[in-house]
Amino acid sequence: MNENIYQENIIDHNAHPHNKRIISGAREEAGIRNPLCGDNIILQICFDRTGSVSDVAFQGEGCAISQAGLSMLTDKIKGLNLNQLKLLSPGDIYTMLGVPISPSRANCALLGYAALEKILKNIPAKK
Amino acid sequence: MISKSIKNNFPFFNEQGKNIAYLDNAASSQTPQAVIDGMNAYYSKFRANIHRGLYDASEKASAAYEDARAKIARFIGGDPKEIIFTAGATASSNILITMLDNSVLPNPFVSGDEVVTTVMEHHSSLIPLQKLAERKKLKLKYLDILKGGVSLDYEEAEKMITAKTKIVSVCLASNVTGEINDVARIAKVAHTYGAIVICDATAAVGHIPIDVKTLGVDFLYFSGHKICGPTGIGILWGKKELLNILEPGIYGGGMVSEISKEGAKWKEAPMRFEAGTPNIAGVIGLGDAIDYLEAIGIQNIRAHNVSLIKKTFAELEKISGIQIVAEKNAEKNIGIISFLLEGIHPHDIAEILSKEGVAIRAGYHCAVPLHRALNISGTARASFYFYNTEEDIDALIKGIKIAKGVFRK
Ligand SMILES: Cc1ncc(COP(=O)(O)O)c(C=O)c1O
Repeated sequence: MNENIYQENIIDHNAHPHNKRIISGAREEAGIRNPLCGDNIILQICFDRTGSVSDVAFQGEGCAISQAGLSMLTDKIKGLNLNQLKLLSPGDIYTMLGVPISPSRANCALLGYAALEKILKNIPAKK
Repeated sequence: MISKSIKNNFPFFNEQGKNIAYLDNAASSQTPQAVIDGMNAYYSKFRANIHRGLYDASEKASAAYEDARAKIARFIGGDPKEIIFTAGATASSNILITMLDNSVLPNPFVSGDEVVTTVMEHHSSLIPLQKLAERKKLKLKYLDILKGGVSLDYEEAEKMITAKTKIVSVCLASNVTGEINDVARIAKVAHTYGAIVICDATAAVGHIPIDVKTLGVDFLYFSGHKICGPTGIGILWGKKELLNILEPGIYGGGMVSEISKEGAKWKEAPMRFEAGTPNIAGVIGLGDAIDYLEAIGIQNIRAHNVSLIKKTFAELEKISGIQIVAEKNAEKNIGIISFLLEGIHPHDIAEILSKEGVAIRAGYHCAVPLHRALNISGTARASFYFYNTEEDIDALIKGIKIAKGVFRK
């Protein structure tokens, strides 16, 4: 496998992240801090009446791996329903990134995933 | 400059290769063979508990332990009775604050009194002060850095420290900007009001000569692992007059002069503060580290570092899009340079550098308030010691250029 984690797709997503904006008045959101570097991100999700993701966005600075991870994750989850969201695993994130993630960078790669988990945990409690 | 062959003293460089540019010395230094040998000798030749056994091994261990205490005292211009062994700077800071909290001071804390510290303290110095302030209802005040710079605002310090100030805590050097602080100047002001002065010397010790009397502080502490000693060992130095009126921070065996069902009385300092079986090998190793540093000479180490810092400043300045988070004056820098590159997260810089054999650190370096004061999130930090070479700087610069290439978009 290519050792280099800074492949074209990572660099592209980092330079031009998808869905990096603020959704004003989003119902579901979670902030999370990368324990490694202290960077903060916020993930926001809107669900439509059928329970599928109608909009998703993120904010916050971070390293290229966390930014690319968030950019790809937010693309991926648009249109998914709650059950589909719950089936996502860290493995899916690694597959999307497509570069070797060392244990020390796992927190960066999974930053968006961790925020999503936080959101999902809160949803049944509300309903 | 110190000869490159000094790397031969360090098994780490034999293992990792002489070409690794180890520039994370502010996090932890490397260990010379002499220190490893000293600790091995204890474990393999005379391992026993100290101050207890009446047999040869215990006497040897006790002598080696006390010998290290004497060396460290001499190293910072103190008295052996003023050196307390701890598990490191963090432990020293916490134990000291507990000691002060437990004691009836001649000038006791009254609700509304003030504690003055700086925005550039390491969390290990800061959090115990925050908790003390909370418990005793003291006001914690932060001395800021000068706008547009990294140096403390000394004129502001002179206004901030008043008759209400009971403690002033200031680091000797910042572990982020490398800035060496004029602790003596602050201590002088603090003492005119009878405040206790604490100095975190962790980033400075072993890099510049330290004399507790010249600094004029009441307490000073550091970790052994940043000056070629083992991890898990450090010291707290305190003025004898103060130590002998302070309550211990921890309780246990080896510290009592008298004990009954009703209570206990303490031995004199430093024994009263060293309850339990200490890190004996660690103490011996730290003593050996100080012998090792003194054989090279702290002045020589300083001169070597200053020349590395000068070269690093000069080289970094040539790189476009770089922001150096330091005062560009090598004489005021302990050997630590933090920087930012436009458009590249510090974490990514560190990762790319590591692939190039350059070890640096990225993040907040346990100094979030300083980053807030500078209005930046994390930084990339290169930190030097006497075994670093000009080639290490070349590797750093080359790595930064590679990182810029990767992110050129
Ligand atoms: C200035 C300063 N103070 C305190 C500490 C804490 O040292 P330790 O982790 O060895 O307890 C450090 C180490 O990072 C430091 O740089």
